[in-house]
Amino acid sequence: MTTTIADYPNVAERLAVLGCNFPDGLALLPTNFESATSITEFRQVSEAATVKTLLRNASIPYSELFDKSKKPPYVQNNSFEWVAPTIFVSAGLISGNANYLSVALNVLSNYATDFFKGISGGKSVKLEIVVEKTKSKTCKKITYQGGIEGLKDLPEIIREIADE
Amino acid sequence: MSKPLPAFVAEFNSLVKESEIMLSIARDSKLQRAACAAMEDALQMVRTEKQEAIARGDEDYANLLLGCESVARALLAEINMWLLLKEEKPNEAWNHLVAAQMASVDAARAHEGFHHLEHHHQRLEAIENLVFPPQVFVSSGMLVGYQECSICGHDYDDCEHLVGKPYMGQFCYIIARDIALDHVAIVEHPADKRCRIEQFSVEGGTRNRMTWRIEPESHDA
Repeated sequence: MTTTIADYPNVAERLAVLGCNFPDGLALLPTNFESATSITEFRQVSEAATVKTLLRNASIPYSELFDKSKKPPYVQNNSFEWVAPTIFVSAGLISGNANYLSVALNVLSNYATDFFKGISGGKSVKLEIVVEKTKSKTCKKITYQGGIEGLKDLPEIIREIADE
Repeated sequence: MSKPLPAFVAEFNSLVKESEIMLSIARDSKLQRAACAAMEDALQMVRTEKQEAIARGDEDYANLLLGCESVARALLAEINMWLLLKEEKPNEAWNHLVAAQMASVDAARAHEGFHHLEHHHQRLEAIENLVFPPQVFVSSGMLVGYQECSICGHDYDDCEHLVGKPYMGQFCYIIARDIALDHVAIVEHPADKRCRIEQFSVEGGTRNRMTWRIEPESHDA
């Protein structure tokens, strides 16, 4: 199991430059959010739609970064992996209702458990979470790779980063 | 206390137990073909029973029968794999092995009554590694403009269904619309292990990755 933390561009600034909405709740970032020069270049992983449904079904607030008419195409990778989209956690969500984070990760972890049902061998998930710090508003990216059971430790790491 | 199995499923389970005896290369081919025929009949009966469950709106039973259907497909595919290997048709046998693996996973996802099938998948993986030579898999990445839900036919973004989950005896999957090829990659874990490099050019023809035979290039007139 590995958890790495790295610097990430300021999400609020990038969203403003690209003409996207700033999210109130959780948001899913396009795969090329760091490098895209316009909304039309955005790509999202196919699983992003599944994660939105999981959040919606669990009544966890999430926000769309763009209008439906500007929805980026999905990249469908036909490999046997569950590629979760990058999740953005705004400072507002952390200071407002941080419990949503634990619930969201629990929902994802349950879905991943079902996804691996009947499959033998290592059941590894990869998840990237971008956290906006509450004071400086700068961002950090947490990359988690490991067993499903390790996801439950992420809310604490997210809170620590947010409070730095 | 667990719920008693419906009589239909109990009968199906006895047939499965009988057919499992044929899951070996050493078994007589004639007996294996007979087991396949019996399993084909059982599959038909399961499908009919499932349609009746769907008509009654009995989702749990429909999903249980979806699991039975997947188990039958897994058994059929594996017996056919052994038959094809004996006929020296390893490429076709490989396709049946992969079908057996996928059907085994489907069964475990269909209903909680099949969650124990992990050990069966483990066995099929062992067959893959011990009986067949290593393969090189390819996977295509597609750009998809619109994802349609197979269950409700609406935009997958907006409906409540989830890919891979069973709903009234059917798995939910995405129907990709407005598609374009984005990339092709060599991957370790493809979604479909039938997508593999089957041959490559060598002096004097093409080498079959499975049999290692060199086959002369065909020159169509």
